[in-house]
Amino acid sequence: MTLTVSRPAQPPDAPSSEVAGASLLLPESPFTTSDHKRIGRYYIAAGILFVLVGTAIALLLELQLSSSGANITGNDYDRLFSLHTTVSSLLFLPLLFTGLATYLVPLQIGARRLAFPRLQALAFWGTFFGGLCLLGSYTFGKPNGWGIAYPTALPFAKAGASRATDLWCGALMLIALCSVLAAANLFTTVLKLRAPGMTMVRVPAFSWSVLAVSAAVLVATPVFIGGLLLLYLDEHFGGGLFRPTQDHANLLWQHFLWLYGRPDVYLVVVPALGGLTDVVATHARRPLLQSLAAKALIFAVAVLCFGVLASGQSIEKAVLLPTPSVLSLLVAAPIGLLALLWLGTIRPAVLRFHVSMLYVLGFLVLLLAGAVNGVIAPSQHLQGGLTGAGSAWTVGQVHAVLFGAPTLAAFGAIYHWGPKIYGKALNAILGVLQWLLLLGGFLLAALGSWLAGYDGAPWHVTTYTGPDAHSWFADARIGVAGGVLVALGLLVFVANASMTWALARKAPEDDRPGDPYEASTLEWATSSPPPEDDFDVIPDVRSDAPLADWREAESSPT
Amino acid sequence: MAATQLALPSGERKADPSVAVYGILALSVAVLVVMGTLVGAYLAIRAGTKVFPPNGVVLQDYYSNILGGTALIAGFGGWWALYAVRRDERRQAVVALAMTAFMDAALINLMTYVIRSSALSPRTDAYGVLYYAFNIAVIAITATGMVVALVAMFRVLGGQVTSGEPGVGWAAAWYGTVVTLSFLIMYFFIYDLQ
Repeated sequence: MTLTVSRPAQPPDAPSSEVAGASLLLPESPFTTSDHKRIGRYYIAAGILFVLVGTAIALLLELQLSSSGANITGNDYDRLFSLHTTVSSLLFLPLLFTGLATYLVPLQIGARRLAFPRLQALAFWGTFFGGLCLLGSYTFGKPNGWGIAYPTALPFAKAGASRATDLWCGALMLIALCSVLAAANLFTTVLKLRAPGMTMVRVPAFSWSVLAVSAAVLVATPVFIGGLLLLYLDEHFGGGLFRPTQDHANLLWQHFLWLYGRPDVYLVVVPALGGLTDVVATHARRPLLQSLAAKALIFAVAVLCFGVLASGQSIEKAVLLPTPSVLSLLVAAPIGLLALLWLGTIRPAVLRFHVSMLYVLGFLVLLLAGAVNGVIAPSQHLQGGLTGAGSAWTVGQVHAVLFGAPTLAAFGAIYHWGPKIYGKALNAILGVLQWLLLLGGFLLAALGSWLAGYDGAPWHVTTYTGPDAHSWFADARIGVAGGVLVALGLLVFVANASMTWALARKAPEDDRPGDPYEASTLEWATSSPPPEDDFDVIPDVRSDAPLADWREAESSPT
Repeated sequence: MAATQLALPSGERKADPSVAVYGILALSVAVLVVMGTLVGAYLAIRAGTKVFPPNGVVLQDYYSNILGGTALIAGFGGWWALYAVRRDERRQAVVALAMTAFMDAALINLMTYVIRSSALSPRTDAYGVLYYAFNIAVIAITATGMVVALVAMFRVLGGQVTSGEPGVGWAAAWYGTVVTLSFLIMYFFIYDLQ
């Protein structure tokens, strides 16, 4: 059942001029496209490309930690470490979720386009170019010391112009600026382009989460842009703003970095929760239990992410709160409640087995593993005490909870919306294989770091030394095995997506069901993939399940 | 053309003219947070060293006052344009928006001159870094304001901004205000609070 049975060559109604008219000024090309679906696919492809690079770097670093001696030394190790952290945290999950949002939000809210379609294309190409510059900075001479990612020291120890540092700062500024543009665009789209009758309460969970995360990005990311501008000028000209002798310099940088960095790391969970909420409701074949409460919980996560600023050893001295870890734990409360709502929705339902549900399960398993370790940690002798800052244990927590879980959620969403994005469902067997590889990989990678942390290993070191080093080497080898599995999982996805994309282009239109799930949200009301203007006719929405309403109306006697 | 099946009742409606306003306001929040970040850095550094401007550096009131006046005129131009748009005075709106863009250009021009002629340098001390960061941020914001004013002007010329659809006029007026506000924030902390 679709709004569009087949893809019309020319939409029958006039309002398409919004999109078509824009093409009169600029020729349609990958750089000037106003098609949100095309831009969304670019974002997803770029995210996958960057994470493959980030994972390759991670494997190099982990390999070095798994045996005595160091092949990558000093500055090179530091720079690779910084590249791994920034590429993985800024250029993978944010791009994947921005891509999904760019593709799906207009469809979910019944819009023909984004609020500013060309701005999104500009944001994408800026981000992509910035990502290439960030990676390219490694080849441009020596930077001024340790990279930005190290949280307890000034970013660059010595002043003086360096092309590598300039490129590094400039690339990060460009990426941050483009993320603000994309966030402003998505925020405005959800607020102003909803179909008639689609009140804020009726907005699907994923689009709701995009609204929440966009608002958070608009507030958090500019702090980083301002900080990077100061850092760039300071590093390039050597004025000494961040010099250790300067009063408050360290504190200043901590605030710039973590007012953005802490919420940013946690914020990727927000669209993950929104996406999985829609996945669960669709495959449970029934409305989500307490959908309004679920949306409030998603919003609460976005707000509480800012409290995480107070956690961690580095910022602990700056923010005078007696229990900074409580603010971190608070984020877990709405996530846990939301998971309970998912279970409450599934329990009485006739669940459809779909590969995306495995990813929901994987997401919960990784969160649970992180929670269990959070309980065990205080009884162990971690570096940095209760917070674990300075311990390899924290590396495990980061990889399981903040990176692994949202990654599984992102791929779960891609498998769920695959028929819409690619015009054909992704191969389910490869999907299960990828799930096994990713879940196993993340658990093993985290396990290596957890065990090393419990054995007293420090974090962020070039190589392990000391009497316990041999035990830590063994732990690191577990991490290497996990990293290899994750890399294989990503490659399986690349193969699956490429194969599906190629097959879908050859498949006749009858084989491209608009709504393969009997879903209730509007993105399934149009053909797969949707026509240029998304809908032949913008629907009038009467509830938060407009397609279910239509099916009911069709089946009832007139 | 392939046959289509209309599944849901149509909710087709005209494009919402306030989309541009909401977009500009969202962007304005980000712009003001950047300025707030720089103010935070300024206050933190000032709390440590307390001497601003550094010894031997004189920041002339004359230039800063001329800059402030230019920024205020640029901000006023946006609202004047909106006033004209709401009365369908197309020619007046074009003049107002052209003036706004011109004043933004003048602001950028004078700021670059003042920066080059000031004794503050990002090579010498932390305040120099802050001074340049403030100015670069305001120049970037003003340049964006100039683009917004020019886009609005061409849309008015093209008949896309009218009293019935004044959204872009509102957007230009609001962003012009943000440009002025950004400059005034810098003016207060750099030139006034010495």
